[in-house]
Amino acid sequence: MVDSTGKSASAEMDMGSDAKVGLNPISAILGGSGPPWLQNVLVGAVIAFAISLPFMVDSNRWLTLFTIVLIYVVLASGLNIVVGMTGLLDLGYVAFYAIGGYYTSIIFIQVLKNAWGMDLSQAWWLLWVNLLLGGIIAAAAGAVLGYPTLRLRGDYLAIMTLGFHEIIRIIANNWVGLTRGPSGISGIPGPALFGFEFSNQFRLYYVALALGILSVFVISRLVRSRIGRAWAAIREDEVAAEAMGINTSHYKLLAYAAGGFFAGVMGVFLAHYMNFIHPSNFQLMESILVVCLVVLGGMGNVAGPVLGAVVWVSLQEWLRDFEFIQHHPEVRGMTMGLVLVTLMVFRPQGILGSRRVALEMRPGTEAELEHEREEVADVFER
Amino acid sequence: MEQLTQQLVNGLMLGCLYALIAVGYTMVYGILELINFAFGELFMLGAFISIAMMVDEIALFGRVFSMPGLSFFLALPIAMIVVAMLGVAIERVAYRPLRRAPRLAALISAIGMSIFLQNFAQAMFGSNQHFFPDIPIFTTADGYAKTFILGGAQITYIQTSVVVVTVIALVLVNTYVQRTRVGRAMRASAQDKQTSALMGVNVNRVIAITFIIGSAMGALAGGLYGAVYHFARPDMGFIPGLKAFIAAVLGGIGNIPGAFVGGLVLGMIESLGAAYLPMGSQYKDAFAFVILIVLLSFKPSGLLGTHVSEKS
Repeated sequence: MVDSTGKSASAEMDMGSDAKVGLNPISAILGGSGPPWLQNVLVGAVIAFAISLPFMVDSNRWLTLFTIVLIYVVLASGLNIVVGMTGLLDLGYVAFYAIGGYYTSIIFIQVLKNAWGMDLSQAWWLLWVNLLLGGIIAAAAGAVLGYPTLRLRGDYLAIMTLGFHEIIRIIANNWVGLTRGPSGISGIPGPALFGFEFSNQFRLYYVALALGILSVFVISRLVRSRIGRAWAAIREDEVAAEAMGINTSHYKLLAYAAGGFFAGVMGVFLAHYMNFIHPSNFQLMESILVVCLVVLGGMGNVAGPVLGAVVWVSLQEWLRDFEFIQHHPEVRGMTMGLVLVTLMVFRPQGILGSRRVALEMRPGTEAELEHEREEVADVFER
Repeated sequence: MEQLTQQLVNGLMLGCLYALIAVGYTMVYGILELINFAFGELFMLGAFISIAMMVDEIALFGRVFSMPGLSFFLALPIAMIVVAMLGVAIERVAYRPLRRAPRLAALISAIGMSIFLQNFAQAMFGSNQHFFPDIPIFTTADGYAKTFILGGAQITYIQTSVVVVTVIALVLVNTYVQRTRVGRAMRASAQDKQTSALMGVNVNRVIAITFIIGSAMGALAGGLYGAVYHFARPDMGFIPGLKAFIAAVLGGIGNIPGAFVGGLVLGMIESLGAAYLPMGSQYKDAFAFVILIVLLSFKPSGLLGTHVSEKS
């Protein structure tokens, strides 16, 4: 992880190799259907398209939009580990994003610049280290927060995470000495590498793309590993998973930590990308938005959240042009709420959902329950 | 000493409001094992509908409508009825189709409903704060709250009424659940829905009644909250809703007296913490969540709870 993070971000050239390495595993993304070569071609095409995108549209507005989409792609993919893979609802995911963002901002501005009076251009390397450290701190926060809910039903986790989100926001707003409160922290340096500055939207887009591809790649590997299968087992039936010898507490904590990690990494990137960080970047609606992206694209499917983020965030930005939407920002929230309810009732597997998730999330009909009961009765008779 | 009494009175009143919302959470969780996030939004709508009934005209979706301008004592029951019907509708649309689905699905549906209602209220009433009209018998002629002095603390009439109304409402609900036929059906459904259905309990009807009671209590809390603090805002319900759920967990989920005790304890801790802890007033919204984390770590069954939560 360490060297690959550094490498992937090192230059645009590396993108090619990342993409090549990514081909096979990312094919896992698209679920079990279709011949593998087709999936490889598809994933390769998507990556090639993403790489060539900035050459096709040359305006900062679009490049900014693409970068933001990429940030949400990673956030949604990270949350998918907790919600989609392990089946636990995390409603405060953006809190971990905030932890990453504030961590790097405090180190760079409050400590290095203001307390030690350092020249920030000398500390360019720290950003790349912070990407990892921010992720680890957020991962630790995720595990610590999840720990009290291990013995309990998963829905307590939903409330805990909502509360945690609120606590982080309150601290960001009120601990003025550390976070500068409502005025935010500004002047955070942009990414740079050995004097090469990622100073415009064009270059920043590639940093985001590198992070995006790397994150989705790592997640797709995780999901196909022993850990990922344990997560799926917990999601499908926790008691059965435990009976099969899976240490459910251990794997749930791992899911919280892994989810938190990716949010932390993107938080660090956000701070350096925006050069400014503010409590309003991390409102509750953001957390709900990320849940919505996962559900929309398809829970428990690596490609689902990616698609969800691309579709929704692009749509949202495009709709911003309409005067009606500008005057009525609440339309966005209403749609989000409706999408969540409607999808849950009619299509819980989302746009891309796998058949497995579809079967699992669907409310059983009377006939099926009856069938199950008969099967159980058969077993007893034998 | 005066400050302590004052804070205790404030905490008592706040706790009563939490307790009223917590009743809905605790009853619904008792039967469906679902956190109905929408109760916070129903609380907010209770305040808004009370206002709408009390003013002479109100702008809805940017258009001005003339309203009856009723007294608070008529407006609040109307709000409770409207919100109760809305609560039943929500159950029908967003939760009933998911009753057999995994809990995650219902939980996501609940948070979606809550977000939808909050934004819908913003579309309907606007994002600005609405002023809650003065209530003549609680306010002096020049617009101040009527008060009396007790133990050096200034206690307003409205604070006293909140406590009295809460106690009466909770005693009524508890008696209903413990003493009537429907109440017995509710308790039976909370233990085992399928077996109750086999014993002739109409579970759907029981759940609808649970939502009616819970939503009406939420609306009652909302109307009283508006009357005490003199405002209503579309986002006012979210945090009190979460805190009320925490109050329900604190008292022992599924337990109505527990909701009352949990609400009071939470209200007191918040009020005293805001007054006496360093920086307490800035961080008072965080106390409830810290309590929840500590509680879940050490005594997840709550103060009065016998029903220990287990793995799903």
